[in-house]
Amino acid sequence: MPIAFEDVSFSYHAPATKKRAKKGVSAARKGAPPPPEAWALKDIDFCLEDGEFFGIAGHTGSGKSTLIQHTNGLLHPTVGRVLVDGQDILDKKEATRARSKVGLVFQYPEYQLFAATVYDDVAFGPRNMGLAPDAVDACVHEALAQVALDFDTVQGRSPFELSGGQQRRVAFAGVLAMKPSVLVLDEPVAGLDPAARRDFLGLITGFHDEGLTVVIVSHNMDDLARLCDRILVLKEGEMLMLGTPEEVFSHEGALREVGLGVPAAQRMANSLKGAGLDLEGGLYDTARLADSLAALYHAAVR
Amino acid sequence: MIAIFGRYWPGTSPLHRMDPRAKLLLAFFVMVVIFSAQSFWGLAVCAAFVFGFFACARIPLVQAIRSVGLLFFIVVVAALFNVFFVQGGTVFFHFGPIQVSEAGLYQAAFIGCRLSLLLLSMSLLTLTTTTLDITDAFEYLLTPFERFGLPAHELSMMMGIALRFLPQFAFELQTIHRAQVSRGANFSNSPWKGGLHMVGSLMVPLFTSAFRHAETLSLAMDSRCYHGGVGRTRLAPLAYGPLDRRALAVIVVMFVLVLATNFIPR
Repeated sequence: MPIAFEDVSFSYHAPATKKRAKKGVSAARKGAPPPPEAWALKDIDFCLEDGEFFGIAGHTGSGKSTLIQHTNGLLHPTVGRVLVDGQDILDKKEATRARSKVGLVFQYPEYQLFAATVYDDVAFGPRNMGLAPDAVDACVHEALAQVALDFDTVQGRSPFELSGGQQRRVAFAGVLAMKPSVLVLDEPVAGLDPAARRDFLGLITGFHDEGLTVVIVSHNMDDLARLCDRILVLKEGEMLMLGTPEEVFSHEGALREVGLGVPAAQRMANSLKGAGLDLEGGLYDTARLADSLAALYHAAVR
Repeated sequence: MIAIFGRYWPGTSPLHRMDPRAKLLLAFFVMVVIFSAQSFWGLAVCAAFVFGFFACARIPLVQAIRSVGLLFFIVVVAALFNVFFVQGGTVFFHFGPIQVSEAGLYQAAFIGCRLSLLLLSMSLLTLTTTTLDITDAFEYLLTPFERFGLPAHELSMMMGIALRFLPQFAFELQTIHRAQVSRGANFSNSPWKGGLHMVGSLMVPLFTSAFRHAETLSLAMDSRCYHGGVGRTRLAPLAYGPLDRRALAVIVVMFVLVLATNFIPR
């Protein structure tokens, strides 16, 4: 289920109105256009393909969170449109449909837990979709299994007595229970220790392997380089770069300018290249860099 | 930027520079002055002064009116009460026990104008004073009552914290709302059917977040050796200046003028 952004611009000062929905998308906005600095997003144009692992990077305030809130119609573009499965989600019915297809996990999702038991919290989404109790039950079982929580031990407990990491798993399960085909995660590993980070990234890779399209917002370039098929870099609400990790991380200078770095191994490879070492282009992780350096060393010694 | 009742409008005008205690007391005085106006003449004088204050604070008139916009329903309700309950003079409209008379309409218009002016002048106080200054002034003015066991410092600190966290909670509520909408929650269609559960999905996370903030804040205060108001000194002690005396003079003039208009025959 592809999600297409067509020349989307968004301003918090001039949000889309219901009137525009009635008049059709092409109708021009009334009144003076907002000043340039008022745009939270400007000319965003890309298409999220099925089965992709898509990364979004950018400095604080670059519009990442605003962008992902467009994917399920929480925010509507001031100019342009967002198509989910070919349907404009400005339409309220389509937005509701998009919400069951696009699972949005906010930052620190454990702060949004509310129900008396883990079961009720995870069942909130399926129940809102109007599923029968049996179907809800099946959804909850499956969702808890997906986040590697044991149904029988956690289902009757209060989410507030779980550990932070487990709470976040429950929150993930609450979104997965709606059986989305696209999962959008806003900094899913923020505030976790390294071990829990690894666990969660493992879980997320697992979701992708099961066939979900995954969109992940992250500040960690190493994670993005390792996991993503494509990376979108935002700068002050505009698309700075869009491409494979290899393409994106070859522009170290431009990334540095917007306050982002490149993965550690790549940074080292780039500075070695700058120092005149004969490394071929491409994306480096630690193992690959070590191999190339070893090969160079052997060639030099011989 | 948009002016909202209770929000601070940054500036360096004389009104911004006044001592917050003087501003708080004079705002109270202005309230008394507006209440002492007995006719539209009096209100006209008050309006001239209030709009003069806004000009002096360099806050655009549109923003001034917008700042009280949300509270305007109070004015409307109060005015409507007067339309129906004050009787006298020519009757314009008659329907069963309801009748609208000349005196009722006059009174409604009068109360409406008076309340609008009151709201505007109170809005001016919060627009030109930071919450920190307001709570400081509040604390200072309550100090005399400490003799009778009133915890002035604690009260004003609570007020300050509450004011400081309002925008924070508004923001968090918005995020929680969006998260639950993403999970298919519907807050618009059926407010009563399963409504309690929906409201719970907003209120429970909001309250847990409030408790979390309270705990971190108290820890942060503790680690800075906060021990209440006793023996606390100030970096910038409040001091009345010539500006405050001039402001007092202006408002005394306003009071005298308003009292004078009360002698103009209707």
